[in-house]
Amino acid sequence: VLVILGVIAVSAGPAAATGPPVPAAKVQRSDATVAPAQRAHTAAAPAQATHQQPAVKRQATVGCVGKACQGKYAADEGCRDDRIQIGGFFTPEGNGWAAANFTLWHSPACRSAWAEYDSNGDAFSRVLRLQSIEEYGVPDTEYQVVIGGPGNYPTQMVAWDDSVRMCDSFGGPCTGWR
Amino acid sequence: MRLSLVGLPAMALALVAAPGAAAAPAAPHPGDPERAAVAAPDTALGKGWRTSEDVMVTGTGDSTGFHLYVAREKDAFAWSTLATMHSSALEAAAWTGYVCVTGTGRYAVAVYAPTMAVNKPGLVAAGALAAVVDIATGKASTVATGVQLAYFNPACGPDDRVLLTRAIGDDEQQTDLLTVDAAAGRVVGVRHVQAQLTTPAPAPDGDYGIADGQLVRVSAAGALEPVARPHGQVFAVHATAHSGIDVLSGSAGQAVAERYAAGRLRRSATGPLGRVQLFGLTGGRDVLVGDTGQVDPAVPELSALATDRRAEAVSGQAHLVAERLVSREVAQAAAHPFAGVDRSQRGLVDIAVRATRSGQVSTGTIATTRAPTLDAMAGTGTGGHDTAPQAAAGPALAPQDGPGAPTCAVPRNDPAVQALQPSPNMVEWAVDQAVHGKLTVGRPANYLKTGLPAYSPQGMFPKAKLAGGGTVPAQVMLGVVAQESNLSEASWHAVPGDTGNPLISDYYGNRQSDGSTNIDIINYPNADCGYGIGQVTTGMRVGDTTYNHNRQVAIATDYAANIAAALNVLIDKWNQIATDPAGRSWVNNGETRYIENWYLALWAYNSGFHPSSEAAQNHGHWGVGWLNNPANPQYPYDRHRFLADYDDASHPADWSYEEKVMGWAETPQKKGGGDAYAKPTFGRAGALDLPNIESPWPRTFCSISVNDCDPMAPQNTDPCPAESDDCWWHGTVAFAGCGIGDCSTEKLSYALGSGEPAIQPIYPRSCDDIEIGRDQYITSGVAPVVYDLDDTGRYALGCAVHPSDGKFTLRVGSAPNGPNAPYGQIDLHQVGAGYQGHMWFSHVYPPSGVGLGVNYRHEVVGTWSPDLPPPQSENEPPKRYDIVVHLPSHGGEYGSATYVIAGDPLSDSRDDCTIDQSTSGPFGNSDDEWRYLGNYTLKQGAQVMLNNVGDATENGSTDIAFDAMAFIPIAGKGHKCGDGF
Repeated sequence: VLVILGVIAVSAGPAAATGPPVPAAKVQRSDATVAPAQRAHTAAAPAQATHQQPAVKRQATVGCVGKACQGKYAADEGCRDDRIQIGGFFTPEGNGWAAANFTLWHSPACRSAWAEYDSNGDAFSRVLRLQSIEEYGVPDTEYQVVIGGPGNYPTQMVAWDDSVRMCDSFGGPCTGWR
Repeated sequence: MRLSLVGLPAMALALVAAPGAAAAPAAPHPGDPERAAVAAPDTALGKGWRTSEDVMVTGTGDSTGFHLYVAREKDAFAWSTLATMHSSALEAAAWTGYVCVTGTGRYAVAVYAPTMAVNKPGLVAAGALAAVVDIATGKASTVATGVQLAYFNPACGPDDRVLLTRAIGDDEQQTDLLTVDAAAGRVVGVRHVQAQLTTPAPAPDGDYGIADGQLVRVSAAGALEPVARPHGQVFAVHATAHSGIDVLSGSAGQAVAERYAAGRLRRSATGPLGRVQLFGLTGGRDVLVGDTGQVDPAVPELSALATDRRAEAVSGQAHLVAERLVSREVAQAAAHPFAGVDRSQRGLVDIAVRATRSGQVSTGTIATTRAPTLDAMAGTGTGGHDTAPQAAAGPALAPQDGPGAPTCAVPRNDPAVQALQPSPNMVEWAVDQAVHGKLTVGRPANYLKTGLPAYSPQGMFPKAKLAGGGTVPAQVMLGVVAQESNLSEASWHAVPGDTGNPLISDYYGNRQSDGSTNIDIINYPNADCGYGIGQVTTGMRVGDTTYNHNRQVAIATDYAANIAAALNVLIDKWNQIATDPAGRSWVNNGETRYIENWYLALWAYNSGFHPSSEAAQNHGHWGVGWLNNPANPQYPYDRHRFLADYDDASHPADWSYEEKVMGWAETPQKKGGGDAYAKPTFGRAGALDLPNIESPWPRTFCSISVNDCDPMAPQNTDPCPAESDDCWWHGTVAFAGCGIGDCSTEKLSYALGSGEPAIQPIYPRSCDDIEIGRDQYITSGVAPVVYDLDDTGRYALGCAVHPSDGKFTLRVGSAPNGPNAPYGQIDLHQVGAGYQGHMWFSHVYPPSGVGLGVNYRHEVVGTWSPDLPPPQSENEPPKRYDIVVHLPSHGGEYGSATYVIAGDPLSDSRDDCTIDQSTSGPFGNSDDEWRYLGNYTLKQGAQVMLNNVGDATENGSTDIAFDAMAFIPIAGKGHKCGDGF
């Protein structure tokens, strides 16, 4: 089995927005386990439209660029301000899961990408997955966020130089590679 | 039917004058003007040719694989491509091999391998692939892997049984004998023989071969029963259908043909050694070809064909003899060994055939066409079951889910590791300097953008002291690098002036621990890790501390550093032999300055030296091994000096390693109309004074007291029947009069201390930007370009490169992050061609299955994602752009490259543009160029994609390039897909 390092960050339900991120565990993706972590997220109503207008202003100062953003959160590094939606899909209610938006973001200023999940309903055992492949092929990395309840759940960031895509859980829809 | 020796050389070849050149050029057969049919067939072949069932099958290798060709008499022997075999698991500059046709005439069997395999003892013994080809359909099936690469393998019988050999043990002291049922397309039995068995021959009453100089019968259990002792040392054996076995041997300059029947041998013909060959014919008859003289008419099922040239192949009914079969690619490699492949010449094969009825010689050129292709890597072909490898001598191994991490210390496809492909003048200069310790040219920090600190080659690898003083003759070292790498530091895909991946031997570790090769897996722990021009293996594995990282990278990327390191390996071999505590071994007068005196060190450079300190573990034996002993029956007794004919390089497995290197030292590779490097200063003989001229050749390194090898024993005995460490040789022997002026010394072309000569690039190098004035819409500065390296600081050929205006990514394998991804890396290459000196390329593959549109293992997807400016307001409409792709002068030739444009990342809508990537002119070399993909509306997040999956006719041989792409904002009417820039 190809040994692939991945990082799992888990949002276990609503948490205080001020809580600092807990360092996530690196695991082989094929042996992914849930590692409790706290990540700020906010309750959000699910938007029916997945296409969002790009920000029109480029962020002047950001906390990281490219590989330096790997594993960090966009909100912490000022990467959301110039974000561009480069992929996404809406999933209607079903299979015990609430309707939700999955959005793939890119920050030109941070040269990074990340994914976000938004829903105001429950979706236990649902997983937001952000996959990336190094710019000229293997190896690859995956960030997973286990959805714990309503709200906004972001993944950590990956470098924009890598190929990146987002998936809903295992066997669910994915965006194309960006 | 015995054998045509075919293939592309390990190194460059010279095209010799076509035999039969004195004859008028053949008029093509009216019905087959492109297939080189025999001219005037009624006269040449006789009136009955239209109803004849005679067929000839032969083959040759080139960079795309090993090809079999078929010519049928009913078509006036017009040629067509029967099958192509290769393995996309192996990176090979060229393929070599041997072919036989079964006695029924229904099947051809090929044993083939990358030509570089001849430099690896383990691959010579057990590193080739074997396939059966149905002559009626061209359907090819792999029947065995890990078989011997030798002149007698494969061996076809008078029916459809075929024998294959696999040499076992460092001294080839044992043999696996594989029995193939060609009709069934599989191995039906494997016998283990406790001896070195050569020239096997399936016969109606059992299987025969030569062991200990005798004709032996091989029992069902692999036991050997001696049945007769031929006149001399045997180099061909073939059984007839009903009448016995023909044996061809040599002694004292004479070839003797004998028929074994009724328990005894009977002489059937004689002729000059080297001028008589034995072939099998359809129906189980044999034929002697060449200067045979009178053939005993009382010997049934044996005929003779008088020819004045050695034959490559004979048709099944002996109506046609192929005297020459040379790939144009080979010929070009001869005239321009370091040039890129001239696409206009690729696949063309020049032939000369002789109609035996009339003696008429016809010459012509045939084009290699698409034919059933066997990719001996599981799952990479068209998906048909007939192309999948089958278990032969063991269980099939499924592709692993993940092969783990590479074990070779310096990786492929890393932009920080780009080797410079030198031109031959640079190599000769570096060797001239290195052997005298003067290779001290300064390499600046970050040379080739590797990130290394400043160094000099022999500052990093100081020349070792040579025991006995003196220096290594330059032509010895030039011969080594010619044989090892064809003077190449970078991958075969890079031509002089390019950078590229380092040349790495067996990076993916397909060779197994027993020496066999299984191409179904990537097995990194078994990788060879031979790097660069000298194929340095020492210290080049992960975890090896012989060299630090900087030195490893220098060996992998800098030809001069590699030569400095490889020279020390050769010196170390000389010193081991010269300073062994049990006594020095040497040849002739032992002086280092004579080229001939390096025979033993070259022998050891390839297969090692067993020191006396380890004799206790080797039954008391020490010295150089048996594999490269010229007396080893692994090599045909009737061979001439290597490179006496440049075509020798098409079947290099016929000679020992030191014979090959001495050949390259004596006969330089060709460069244009002249030699690629200087010939030695010859002694009185005007040539190297080598041992393969006078008796006791080839038993020069035989001594009863040393290795139980009797130089004076009759030629019909094996000089060293033990075929074990008993046969290791040490001591002294004189075969050349170095003390009396017969030997040769080096000749330097470059003064010591002279500066590194300028590279002689094959393709022009340009650093021109796509800037203002190049297009009506480029109104200032340089157009936005997405480079194929995101870190443009890695462009290594000296252009001042701007930052990339976007990102470029590659995804390999499908799914790209799945277990097949490492396989996708195998046929992905970086080359210092294209815009500003870097691009990626792969080859075009068919889909893995009908309707899939993907190739699980070989898919490569390139994606260009421009950084587009954000809109100034929410209502601002998206802009339109001309998209222009850069096409490299070489490395891209796909005629149907389809670029898919996704202008809106949130829409499923796609546009596409299909163009021909070829930039070739009529004579091959060409210039870089830009070409429009059309004009499109693009939003932030837009991307352009290209993959290498074509239609079902693709076979992995067509280059497809991934180069830079420009996105030019337009204010009016843009350009259309395919417009020239």
